[in-house]
Amino acid sequence: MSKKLVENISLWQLAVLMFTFEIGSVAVVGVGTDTKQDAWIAVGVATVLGAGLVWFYVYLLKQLPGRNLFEMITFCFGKWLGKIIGLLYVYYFLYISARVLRDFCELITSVIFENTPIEVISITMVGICAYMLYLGLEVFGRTGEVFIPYVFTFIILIGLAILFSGEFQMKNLLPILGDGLGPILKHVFPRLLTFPFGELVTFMVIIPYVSHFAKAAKVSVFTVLISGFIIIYGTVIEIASLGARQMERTVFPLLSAAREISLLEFIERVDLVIVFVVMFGIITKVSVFLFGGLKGLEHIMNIPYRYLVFPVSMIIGYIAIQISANNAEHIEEGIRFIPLYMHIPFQIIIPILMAPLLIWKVKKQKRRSDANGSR
Amino acid sequence: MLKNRMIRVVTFTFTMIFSGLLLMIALIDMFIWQQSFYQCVSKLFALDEGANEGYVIATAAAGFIYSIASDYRIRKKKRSQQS
Amino acid sequence: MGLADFLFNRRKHKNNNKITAEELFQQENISKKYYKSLDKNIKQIQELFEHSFDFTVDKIKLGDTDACVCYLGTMLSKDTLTNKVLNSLHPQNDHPKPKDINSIRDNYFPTVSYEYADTFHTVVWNVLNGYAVIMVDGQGKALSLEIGNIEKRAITEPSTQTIIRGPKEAFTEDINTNISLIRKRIRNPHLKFESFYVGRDTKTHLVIGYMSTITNADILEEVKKRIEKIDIGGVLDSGNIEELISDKSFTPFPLIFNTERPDSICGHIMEGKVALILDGSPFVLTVPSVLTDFFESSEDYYQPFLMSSFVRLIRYMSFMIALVLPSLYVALSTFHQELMPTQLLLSIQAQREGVPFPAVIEIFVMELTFEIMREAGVRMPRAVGQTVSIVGALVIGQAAVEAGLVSNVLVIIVAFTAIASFVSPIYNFSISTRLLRFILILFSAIFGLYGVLLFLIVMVIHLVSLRSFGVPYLAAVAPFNIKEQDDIFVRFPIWANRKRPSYLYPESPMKKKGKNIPSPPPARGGGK
Repeated sequence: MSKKLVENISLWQLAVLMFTFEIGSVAVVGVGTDTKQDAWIAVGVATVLGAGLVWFYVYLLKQLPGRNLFEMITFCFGKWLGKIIGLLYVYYFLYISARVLRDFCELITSVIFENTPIEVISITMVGICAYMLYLGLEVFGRTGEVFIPYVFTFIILIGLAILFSGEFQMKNLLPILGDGLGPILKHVFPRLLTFPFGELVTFMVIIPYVSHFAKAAKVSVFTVLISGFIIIYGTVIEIASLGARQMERTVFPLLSAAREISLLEFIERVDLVIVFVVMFGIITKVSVFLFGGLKGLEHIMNIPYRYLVFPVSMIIGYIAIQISANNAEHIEEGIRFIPLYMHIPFQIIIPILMAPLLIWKVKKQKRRSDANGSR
Repeated sequence: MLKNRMIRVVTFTFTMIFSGLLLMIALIDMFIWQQSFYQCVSKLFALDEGANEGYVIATAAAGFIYSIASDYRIRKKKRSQQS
Repeated sequence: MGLADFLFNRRKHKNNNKITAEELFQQENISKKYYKSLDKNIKQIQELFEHSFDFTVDKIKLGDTDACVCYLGTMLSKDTLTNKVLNSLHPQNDHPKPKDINSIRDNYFPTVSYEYADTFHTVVWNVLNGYAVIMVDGQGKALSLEIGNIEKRAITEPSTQTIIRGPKEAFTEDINTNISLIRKRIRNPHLKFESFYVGRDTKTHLVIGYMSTITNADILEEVKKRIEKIDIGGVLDSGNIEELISDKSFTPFPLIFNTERPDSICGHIMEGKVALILDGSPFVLTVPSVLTDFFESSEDYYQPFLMSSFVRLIRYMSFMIALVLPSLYVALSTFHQELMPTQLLLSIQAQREGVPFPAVIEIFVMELTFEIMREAGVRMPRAVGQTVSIVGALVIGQAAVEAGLVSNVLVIIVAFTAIASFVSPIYNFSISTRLLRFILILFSAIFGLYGVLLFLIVMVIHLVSLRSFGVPYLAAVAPFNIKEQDDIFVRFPIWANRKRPSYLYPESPMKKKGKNIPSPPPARGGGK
C-alpha cells in the first residue's frame, strides 16, 4: 500500500547531514560544562566511543541491507511487538525533535531577538522543516550541501577571530586533568555519549537510503570523528575565552564566547553569524528526528509519510512550547531525566538487545533460502 | 487490521501522536517534580497570562484540520480509483 | 481526439523528419482533395482565400492547356517572381508542348527550386509559405516554386546582452538566418536541426538544434515529448514556449536559459544542451539550464581566466547584494541597532532623524519608485527617454532627500541595489531578484534578521527542489560534484577544462584528451 521511496542521497550528503546534526545542538547549549576546563578531553573520549557506537549502528543495518530501523525492528520482534517498539521509537524521536526546537527557541528569544514571541519562532522553524521534508529526502540532502561551506567556515572563523581579538587565554585550560579521570568518565557516560553522539541512532532511518551503502560505515565513522574534532575545537575556544567558571554559568557558551570578538573596532557583534550556524544546525537536527518519526509512522500506519508531514510537524511546534514552562525547567529535564531514561534505552539497550536476534534471524533466513535454492 | 480504518488514518495518527506526546510530557513532569498526574495535566492546558500560546494552539488546530482534509482527499482518491 | 490524432500522426512521420501539410490542417475545415480539373481547384482556393487582397490567381496558357499561377503577393518578392516565373511563362517563349507536369518544370523552370503538391492541403501550405503554385488543367498534382526573399532585418549587434570582446552578431527574427548563424560556428554533420510546428492557429516553425554525438538521448526525448504536448492557439515569441515546456511555473527563477547571442548558444550546444529556435523570435532557448548558467556570460571565455573568475565572483556577490541589502538595512535599523558598529549607527541615525516614516515604508516607497522609473524607461519612446533620467536622478533622488522625506543612506542603498541587480548577464534572472527583494523586505520588517535568514533558507530549499528537464537546478553545487568546480564560481584556464558537465549526462563526456598547457619552448643552446 505504501509507496516505496526511490529517493537516494549520496555519501557526501550523508556526511554533511551528520556533521551539521552533530554540531547543531552543541553550538547552542555547549557540552561537557560540568567537567570544567577538561571538557574538551571529555568530548574527545566521547567522540571515540561515539564513533564506535555509530559503527555498531551501521553494522546492524548491514545485516539487512535496504531496510531502515523500523523495518528491522519488525523483522526482529515480529509484527505486533515490533509495531509497539516502533511506536515507542516514534514518540522518542518526535519528543527529542521538540526538545531540540525548544533549545533553539530559548536561545533566540532570550539572547538575540528578545521581542519576538517564542511561539512564532517555534512555528516558523518547524514550518521550514516540514516544507523541506515534504519535498523529500533528496532536497534535504541538497540543502545541507548548499549551507555546509558557510557553517564550516563560520565556525572556523569564529575561533580565529577570538584568537586575533586577544581573548584566547591558554591558562584557562590549566590545570589539565586537575581532578583526575573520574569526573570525566562519569560525565562521558551517560551524558556526553548520548547527547551529541548517541542521537545518531536516528540516522538508522536515513542511512539505508544512501546510494553507496557499502561505504556508509566508513563515511559515518569518519564524519563522527571530524565533527567530534570540531566540537573539541569549539569547546577549547569556549573554555579559553570565557574560563571554566564563566562557562559553567552561561546558558549559551558559544554565543557568549563570540561576543568577546572585537576586530578592527568594526567587527564587533557577530551574533548573526552564530545564529545562522545554529539555525541551520537546528533545522537539520529537527528535520532528521522528524524524518525518523515520520518514517516510523509510515511503516506502522502504512501510508506515505507525505500525508503526515504537516500535521505531525505542527504538533511538534505545539509540543516544543508545552514541553516545559521555562528554560530552567527545560534544562533541568535535559540533565536529570532525558539521558538516563530516554537516551540510554533507545540508543543503546534496544539496539544491543536487537543485535543477537537480528543476526540469528538473518542466518535462519539465509539457511532457508539456501535450502530452497538447492532443491 | 487497519484496512477498515484506513479512511481515517491521518486523523487517527494525529490524535495518537498528539495525545501520546502530551501524556509523555505530563509523565516526565510527574517524575521530575513529584507532582500528581492531575496537576501536571492541568498545567499543560492552563493558558498563561500574557503569553502567545494562542499561536501554537491555532497551529495545532490547523494541523488537525489539515489531517481531516487529507483523509478526505485519500478517500476521494481511493473512490475514484475503484470506479 | 483531434489532438490525439495530431500527435499520433506526428509520430508516424517521425523518421522522415518532415511535417506534412496534412497534419497541420487536420483540425481545420479545409478539404483535402486536389482535383484534376483546374476550374474546381481555382474555385476551391479562391473560396479559401476570400477577402485577402494580396492573394492573386493569374490565369495563363501553356501551349493550349489552361493553367494558373497563384501566390500571396506579400509573402514573396515580386521581382524574383517576375524574373524566374512569369517571364518564362510568356507566350513568346517557344517551349515544346508540355505533356505532363514534370516536363513543364523541366522546360520552363529548370533552375528554380520546387516541390510537387498532390493534395490541396499542400497547395495551401505552400502558398502560405511564399511559394508560387502553378496548377495545370488535367494534372494530378501542382507545381510549387520557391520564391521567398521577403524583406528581413539585417544581423545587428545584440541589444540586450552586450559584451566588450567577442563576436558581435545577434540572432534576428528569421529562423533560417538564425540556424545559419549556428551552422557557421559548428561545422559538423552531427549538428542536427529537427523541425516542429507549434500553435494551432499560427503554425509557427520551431526547430530544435543539438549535437547528436553529445546530447543525452533521454533529455532529447523529453524535449521532443514536451514540444509535442504543446497545445496552444498561437505562439509569438520563444517566451511562450518557455512557459509551456518548463518544469514548474510557480517559481520566480527562470528554468530555461535564453539568449540572443549565437556564440553563447553554440557553447551550450557543445556542452550537450538542446537549443530551441522559434521563427519570429530573436531569443533562442537552451535546455536543460542550471542556476549557474545565468551567471555566465560568453565573454567569460574570451577574457583571461583570472579576470573572468573575478568577474564571476562579483556577479554572485552582486546577486546577494541585490537580494538582501535593503532588507538588511530595514532589519538593522529597526530591530537590531546593537549589531551595528557604533560610529555607523550614529551616522545613520543622525540622517534618519528628520525622516517621518519608519524604515520599511521609506525603503518600500523608494524601491517602488525605482521600479516605476525603470519600467517607464523601458516603455518610453526613445526621444523622451532622457526625461526619465533627469526626473529620476534630480527630482526624486535629490529633492526627496532635501525635503527630508528619505535619508541619504537609503538613497545610496536603493541605488546600489538597483545597479547590482542588473549585473546578471541574463535579464530574466534580475527579474526574479527584484521580485524576491520585495518579499524579503516584508519578512525583515516583520521578523527582523531572523526573517531574513528564514526567507533565505526557504529560498534555498525551493531552489534545490527545482529541476530543469530532470536536471537538478543547482547541479554541481547541490548535488555537489568536485570535478565540475572548474567552471562554476571561477573559470579555470580553457586547456584545463576537459570535461563536459556531468549533470547533463553527455554521450561523450570528454571534450578532449590531452592537456596541452602552453609553455615556452626549451631554451636553445643553454644547457648541454
